[in-house]
Amino acid sequence: MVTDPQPPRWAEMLIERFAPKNFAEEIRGDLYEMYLGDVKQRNHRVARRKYVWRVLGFCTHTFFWKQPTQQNRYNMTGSYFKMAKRSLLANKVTTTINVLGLVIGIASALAIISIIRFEQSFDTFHSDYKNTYRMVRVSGGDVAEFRTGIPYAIPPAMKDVASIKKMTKLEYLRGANVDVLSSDGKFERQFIEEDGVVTVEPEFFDVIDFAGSPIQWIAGDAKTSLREPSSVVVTRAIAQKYFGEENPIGRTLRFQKAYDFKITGVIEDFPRNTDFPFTMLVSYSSMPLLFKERMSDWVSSNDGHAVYVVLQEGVNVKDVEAQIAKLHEAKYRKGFVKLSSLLSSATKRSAF
Amino acid sequence: MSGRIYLGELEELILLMVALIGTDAYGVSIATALEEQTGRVITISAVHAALHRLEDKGFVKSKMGGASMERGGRRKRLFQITTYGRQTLEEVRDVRDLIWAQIQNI
Repeated sequence: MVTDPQPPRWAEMLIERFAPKNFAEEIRGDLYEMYLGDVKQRNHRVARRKYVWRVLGFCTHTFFWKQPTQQNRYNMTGSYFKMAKRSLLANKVTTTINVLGLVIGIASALAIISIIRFEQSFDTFHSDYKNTYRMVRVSGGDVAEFRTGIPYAIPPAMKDVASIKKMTKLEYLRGANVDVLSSDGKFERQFIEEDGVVTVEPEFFDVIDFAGSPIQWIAGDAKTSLREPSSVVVTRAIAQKYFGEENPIGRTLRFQKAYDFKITGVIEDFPRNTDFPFTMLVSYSSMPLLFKERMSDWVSSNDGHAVYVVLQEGVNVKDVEAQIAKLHEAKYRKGFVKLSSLLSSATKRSAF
Repeated sequence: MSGRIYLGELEELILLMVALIGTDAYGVSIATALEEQTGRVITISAVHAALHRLEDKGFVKSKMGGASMERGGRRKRLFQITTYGRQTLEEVRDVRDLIWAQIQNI
């Protein structure tokens, strides 16, 4: 015996707390004596296990739960329940109305609580979500009326803003007409996706990293699968819908009857409580193929083109906004619509 | 005394052990004696339960004994057979003897 042997504390407390007052001492004494015997004969671990086992044995006996009789003399709990039951049965209509009302009330409260919890859980599982902002565009000073689209030429110019730790841009394309091509390039089947199609950069998964949600890559990874132009990553649900049990990697999907994208990765379905409800992720490097000269445009913008940034801890958002505004003004001088960028904490609830 | 005695089989054995041990009859010593005498291993909680039933029925009485180090300074409850308990044991034995005598006479 190296250490001073002690039976499990919680089991001792169980006896102390629940055993009839006048019996607790002898029960604990007997248990301790047997415990020491076990330690001597076997070892500490066996003794502790046996101790717990014996305590549980006591819990199965009725005498263990009986309190000394004179304490029970004035205990009316039983008759209170009996009275409650009888008076409820005596007024059946009122009882029904009251109980139903209570049931509906409690049920609605629970439903509201779970809805609010769901709403508040949106995009809180990214590791740096408190410092993650979505860039929006405002005309004049009215912050409430913002647009989500950021002109394509702005994000590359923002590389030098020091307080931006990470940045990613994406273009939400929404729906697409998708043709599945066979391995030798012939048309096989057609699907119409109403939403979920997006182009993202590999860095998307640095900014919006889903660290706290069970999402994971089934095939491929963020760094390689989304780098090359004309690559597309699909979710598990899409892979199953298009290919069943077949391996989707390397197969070609033709979008809008015009653009061929090769499947380079499969990712777990995105959680429901996210503002990024994507099902097909096309590599952002395919953007020049899709939008050509508009990519260098400082004026026009597409509402689907969103930019997310992660700021350094403790940076003043107003300063960053001012820096971006200055950058923008330097490049853009024509002066009919004045854009000023605004960072808002819009990772929450600003739907596409 | 009521005419009918109710004494369970385990209760009877434990009552016998209390009588056998004499001055130092408490939970652990009764369980040990029971194992030595009959080879039966029963849990300590069952011994306690039986002792409480016996006390309720008036077959044994108890008082708190001295504390000792090997019990972590806790006292034991020492049981002692009552006259009524002893009478009951004898009665049970007599009834059995009588029956046995008749069996052998057949």
